[in-house]
Amino acid sequence: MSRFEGQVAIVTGGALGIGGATARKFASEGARVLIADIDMHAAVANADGITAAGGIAQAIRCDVSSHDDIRSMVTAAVEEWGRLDVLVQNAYGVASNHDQSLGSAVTVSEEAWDNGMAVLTKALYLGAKYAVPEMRKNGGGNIVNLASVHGFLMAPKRLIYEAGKAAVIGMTKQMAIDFGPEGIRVNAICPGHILTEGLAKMWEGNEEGLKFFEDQYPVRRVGKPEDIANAIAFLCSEDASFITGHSLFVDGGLTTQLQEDLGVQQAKYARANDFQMP
Amino acid sequence: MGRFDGKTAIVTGGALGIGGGVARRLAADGANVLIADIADDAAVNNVTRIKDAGGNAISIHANMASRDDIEGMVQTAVSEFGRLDIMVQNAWGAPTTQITGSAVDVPEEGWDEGMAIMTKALFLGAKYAVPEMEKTGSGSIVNISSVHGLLMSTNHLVYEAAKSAVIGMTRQMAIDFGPIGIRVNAICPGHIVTEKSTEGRWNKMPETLDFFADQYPVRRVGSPADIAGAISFLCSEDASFITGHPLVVDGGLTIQLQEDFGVQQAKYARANEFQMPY
Repeated sequence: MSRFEGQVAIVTGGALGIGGATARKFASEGARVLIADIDMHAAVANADGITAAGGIAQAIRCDVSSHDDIRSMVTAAVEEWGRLDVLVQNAYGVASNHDQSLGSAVTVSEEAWDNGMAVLTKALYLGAKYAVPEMRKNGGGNIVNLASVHGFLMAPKRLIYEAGKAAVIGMTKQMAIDFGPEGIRVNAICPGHILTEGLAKMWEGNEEGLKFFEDQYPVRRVGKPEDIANAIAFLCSEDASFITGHSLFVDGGLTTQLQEDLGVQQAKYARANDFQMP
Repeated sequence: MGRFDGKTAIVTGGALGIGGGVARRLAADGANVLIADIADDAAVNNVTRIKDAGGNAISIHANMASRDDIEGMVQTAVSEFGRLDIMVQNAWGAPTTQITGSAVDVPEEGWDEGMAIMTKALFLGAKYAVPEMEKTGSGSIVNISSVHGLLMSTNHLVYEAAKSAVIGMTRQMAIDFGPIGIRVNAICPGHIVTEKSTEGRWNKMPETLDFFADQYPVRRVGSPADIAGAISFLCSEDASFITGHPLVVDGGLTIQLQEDFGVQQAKYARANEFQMPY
């Protein structure tokens, strides 16, 4: 079961949520994992948990809006373990100024645009810039970029996030054709609603609201961080060696539904069930 | 070890090529496999190969143009193995009429036959398989579409229309059967080298295969094992939040902008000797 024995993986935003589960998944399958996160406390806690479970992981503070931090993150992985095989670019770090990032092209500030695009897109360019030369030395490697269903279809008043995630899908394709000939595959994941530690808190006390959300998914549940971690592990495995440039949707079928029918279905649900709007 | 221990899988067109590789992989993962094919001898050979490797499989003659054959195939899987969990709809038959040509050139009989084996067969497969899967509370269907379902080659109306329809049908089945625990996904393979194409074409023109491989960002064409690995993932618990998704397993072929790609291939053609494939 150890698909990543002998390999070294970096997971940005690897402390909690999707990144947290991804770090644990790779470690459980034999990889040595560098958890890069701005939340050092949670990053160290996840690394400790991995170590306690018999895996190998370390934490490093990394703000993905900092060019130096991204370069140091790659250097640290290679200095510590001698190579780099997998880079999962999951951090998006806008959490701290989430409110400023919301808005249409009219309302959102230029500063919020610059900050948002820096962490959502530029960080992934820089991550690849430093990771690819290291992967070349092994004759191959895998990069997985976290896009979103928001990179494919748009929610209102979210220009920055939707533009950033759409760019991730494009960047993934570009990197796939640029580095494919050298044995480096680059894929994206488009997650639907994933119940991370943070989002679970948002739903606390509103179980009916979460049930309404679950009802919007053809599989009648929302996602878990492990759903994404498992998909990323597949993409980085030999089983996926002919898959590159692909945006893998892990969304329980959400985006396969025609909106006008879903709207009617959800309107009926709203009439038939009591719940607080999320 | 076996992620499909105790489960039953049907693979249509499971004698050779992609289907052959899929049947062997699902059996290696622990499933009891029913190989449904019109090539009886080749189907029996694949069954022997699976059994020699320690797996379990049987074969049945099933023509995807026949509703009775499709119904009988599902019944046989259930009567032999007691349940049905996985169905891989890979067969596309051996059309007896001409299915190539534009809307002007292709005969109506070619349209009818092509659409019957490539699309109606998948509808009928689901019609009979889903009630059986419902009894176990879960199931997974994988329909084989193609890169030809995403982008079109000239004078292939029937094949391109049918493979596009497969993607649409996959999404439709995903939302229809998601609430009862059945996931439905599609695979869009790029060029896969099979036993038949190796013997019939590529052995005679290896330089042309090199030219084909150069068209792929990963610089190789695919093997049946590439598709089998992707299908094994889609049918596994690791993919339990993935439904309605066309997973493109094409080494990055379809992410390339055509005009740049065309120039690249023109340069290759000037620099290398090879015979045109068609």
